[in-house]
Amino acid sequence: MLSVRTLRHRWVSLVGTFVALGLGVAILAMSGLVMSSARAKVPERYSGAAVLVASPEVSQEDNAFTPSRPWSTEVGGDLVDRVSSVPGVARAVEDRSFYAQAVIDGRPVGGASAEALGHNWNSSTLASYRVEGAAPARDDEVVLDRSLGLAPGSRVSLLTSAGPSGFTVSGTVDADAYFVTEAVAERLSGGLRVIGLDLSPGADEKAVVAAVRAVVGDRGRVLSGEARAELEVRGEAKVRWIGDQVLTAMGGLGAFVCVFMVASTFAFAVSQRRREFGLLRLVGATPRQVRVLVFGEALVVGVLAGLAGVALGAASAPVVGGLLVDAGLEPAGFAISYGFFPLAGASGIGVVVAMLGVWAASRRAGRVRPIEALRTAEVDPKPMTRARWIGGGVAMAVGVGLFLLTATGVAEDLLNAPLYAAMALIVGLTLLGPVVLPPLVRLVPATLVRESALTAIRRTTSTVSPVLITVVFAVLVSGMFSLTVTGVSLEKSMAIGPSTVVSARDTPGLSDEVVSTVGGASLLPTTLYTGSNDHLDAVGVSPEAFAKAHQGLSVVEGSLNDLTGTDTMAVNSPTASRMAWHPGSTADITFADGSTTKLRVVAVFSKTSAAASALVTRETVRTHDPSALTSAIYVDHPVVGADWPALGAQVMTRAEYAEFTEAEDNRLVGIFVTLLLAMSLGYSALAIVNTLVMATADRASDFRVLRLAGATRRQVLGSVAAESALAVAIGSLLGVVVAFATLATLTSGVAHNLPDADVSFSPPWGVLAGTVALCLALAVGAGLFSANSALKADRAVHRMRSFGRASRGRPLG
Amino acid sequence: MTEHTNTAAVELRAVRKTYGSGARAVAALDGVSLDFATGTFTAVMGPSGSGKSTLLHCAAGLDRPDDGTVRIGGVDLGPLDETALALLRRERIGFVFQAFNLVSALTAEQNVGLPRQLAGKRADSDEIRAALTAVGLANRGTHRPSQLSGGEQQRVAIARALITRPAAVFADEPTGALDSKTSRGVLELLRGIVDRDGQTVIMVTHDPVAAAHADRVVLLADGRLVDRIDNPQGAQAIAARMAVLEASC
Repeated sequence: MLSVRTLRHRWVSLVGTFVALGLGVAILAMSGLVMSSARAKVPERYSGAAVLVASPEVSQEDNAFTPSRPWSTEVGGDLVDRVSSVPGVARAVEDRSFYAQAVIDGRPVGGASAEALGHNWNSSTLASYRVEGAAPARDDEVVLDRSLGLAPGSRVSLLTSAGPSGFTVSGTVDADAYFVTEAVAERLSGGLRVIGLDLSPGADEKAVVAAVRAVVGDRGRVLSGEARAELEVRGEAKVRWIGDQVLTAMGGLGAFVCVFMVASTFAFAVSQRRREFGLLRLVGATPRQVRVLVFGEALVVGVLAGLAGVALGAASAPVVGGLLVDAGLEPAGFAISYGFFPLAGASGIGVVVAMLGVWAASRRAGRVRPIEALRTAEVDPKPMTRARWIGGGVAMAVGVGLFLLTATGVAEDLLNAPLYAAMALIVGLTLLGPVVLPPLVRLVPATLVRESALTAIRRTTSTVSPVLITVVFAVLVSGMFSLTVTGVSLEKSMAIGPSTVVSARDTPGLSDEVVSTVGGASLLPTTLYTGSNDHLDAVGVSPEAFAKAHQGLSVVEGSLNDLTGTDTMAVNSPTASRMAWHPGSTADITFADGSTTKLRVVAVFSKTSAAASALVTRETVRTHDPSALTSAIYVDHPVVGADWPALGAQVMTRAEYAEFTEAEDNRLVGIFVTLLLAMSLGYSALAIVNTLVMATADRASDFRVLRLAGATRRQVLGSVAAESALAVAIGSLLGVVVAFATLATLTSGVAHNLPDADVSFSPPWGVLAGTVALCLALAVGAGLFSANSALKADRAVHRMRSFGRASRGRPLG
Repeated sequence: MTEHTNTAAVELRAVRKTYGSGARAVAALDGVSLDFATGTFTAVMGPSGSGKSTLLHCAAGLDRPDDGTVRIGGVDLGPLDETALALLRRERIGFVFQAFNLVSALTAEQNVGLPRQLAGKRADSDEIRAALTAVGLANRGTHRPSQLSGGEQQRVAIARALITRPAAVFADEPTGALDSKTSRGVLELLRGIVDRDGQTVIMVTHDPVAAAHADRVVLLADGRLVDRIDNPQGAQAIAARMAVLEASC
């Protein structure tokens, strides 16, 4: 096969494509594996329950991972009674969860992610735990995790939403959980959300499921088998969701860079091989045969790179998975499961990308006329084809269009629309390179460098575009996450007034004991369930203290002074207009305990004044959500001493607190930026080196002419370095324009959506300087390296042959 | 093809070709009519810019004339599309050029077998070896072009041109990049395939010594046929005619 033969010889020019494609496939295979492995699992707690009945799910459109809407006491009790009597059901077990955390050696165990680990003892039978000791018989007895090292009989302090209280360990289990008596669990947990069913021996699971469904109707979900994974811990689902965002961004960016690089390296390789294709046409190859040859090469490269990429991706998936667990982007205990589809899909995509990438290039190869075998090369025959004009024009139009949609706030997906716009502009500028670049190149004073860059304008374009893509993504990724939106965070705006903040440490939130010790203005978040599957995130506050502490809250209608008792609420303006509420309206609200009461709207505040959709009194939350924890307390007086660490609290100045809350945001953003930046920089480094090696190696004849004309070796290398530097300068310039335009439109788009907020981004000068320096070092280094080897090889060839390429310059007619 | 000695292997009728447009238009061929009889060796000469390369390109179907007809082996090239032209080149035409005739990725044998391979036929290794032996390269078959001297590369190109038993072999400055001793070998080879195998060879050259190997020399100036020398007697006579021609332009 001709493709294989030419391939074997031309592997140098295809090695870049191979590596680019292999890396792209590896990234896709890796992220595919990690994402498919990160499926929800049936929680261990329910491993022994064949069938589960769960309360109705609520809308998760806001990605807040809101727990499902609990049953009221009556409905819950009725369901337990009815499903117990379904034939085949041996027992129906209430499953309750609440906040509990042991304090050992003066510190709460398990950290901030220790949410809802407390359960009623009966629910322990839904799993097959190995129990040592006895069940909790009294209300101050607990069965807890054996790995805590507490033997039955010892005393332990347990933090609950009320505060620390003393318990006696009655037994231990092999699970990260605290089991207490039914009475205690019911008091601490609020409404019932899950009922586990033990089936009688020999019962037909399908029949039982059908019968239970008939009994439950639309009052809940009946789950069996893998569907039970719906009941995974919300915190894990959230962590996994964040991980998915990172992996999707990586996969998307990786795929784009991969397609872009493969297409441009193929196009470049074809433009370098016009003479060879002309020769094939001369000896009788049809245009189709030339296209097939190029396609065949791409297919071989695609298949090989696909296989190598899949192997690399499969090998790196556990490593990346481990990093994501460490970074808190995947739940602990996460393991890669090797599925067929992510791997086959990634390698298939690799082959398809190779085919798509080579498509335009092969058409161009097929159009090479046989007479071109006789021409001297180097001068681009026709740098702008019609396809380039059309493709470049369309890409530019799409990019600018997306910019306009983003800047005016019309685009819904504010995070991705500017990214797509930048991608479109990169493609557009690359395709229109032969038109866009010459005016920039003409600004250069050095004649030789300028003219050589102008004559081979497509080569110049090929070396400029990887720099362009690198600079755009580096600046964009780091700039996008520096976008700060002030005025939307309730915690931050609260911190304006008071001087001291008490917040959670090693715990998911503060208990009531801390709140009563400290006083001040506290925030007690909860969920209000409104319509069938609708819900509002709400915060319970003490109105006087809140109003005093919060200076940024702007009330649009009504008055916060009326926020009293347990039957009033204030809502933000979007919620008010969505629900058609005004001061004076009343609405049925269901709380975390499953009870439903009428609340009266007393005030509407502006959207950006507080992060919560609704405000209620602290008393309201406490009455209906026993497990709720206080997120922060603001005080304007010095806080007197208490054993803060044992209470899971910390006292900070408001500046320290602002830094503390930002540190967590920044940590996640940091991981995100580092991953994306590392990937795009690594990729682009490859592209820059590859194109420069390809471009320079092909210019042995130019170098010979320069040497014959009396240029020293140093001068030849100098001109190569200058040309490489020129490509980097132009690429950086265009990159900065595209990236900053994107950041500016993004800022304007966000500002449009949040009229009250102060939106700004800090230009990532450091990243920009570093990226340009890296590109410069790589480009000049790669250019010099291959020019040097071209000069060396040339001397050897020159001795061997009596004529050289320079003699091609002789006129033929 | 030896039986058709009377018919023309290649014929040009009133062929015109203009490059550029408007004031910068240059008539490379200005109504050239010419027959190349089967089994003859013709040299096309002329000063730089006389249109001799354009003549060769049009005659070989590499370039399309603006006007006039070109027939190869009786087939009119005018209506043929790119694919049909490629097939015609593959089956009926051989090419030998100044340099870089060979696909650098392929060995000498593979280069010689290329037209066969492109035709989807299994290249007959005996045939290829015979072709290489005929040009004196029996033991160089597995070498790549970079391992061969300029003269050897030209011989491989000639072997490839002959493998399909073409109606005509076109040579454009086949000795342009070779020293005089190697040149003589290549020209004698071309002469030999005409005399021995009855091949038709059309060669563009600026070198009177090369032209002296031909049966006939046609001289071009400004895109027109200006002179012809049948059975040229030595290079000096040709050089003298060339000198006259160059002086007149």
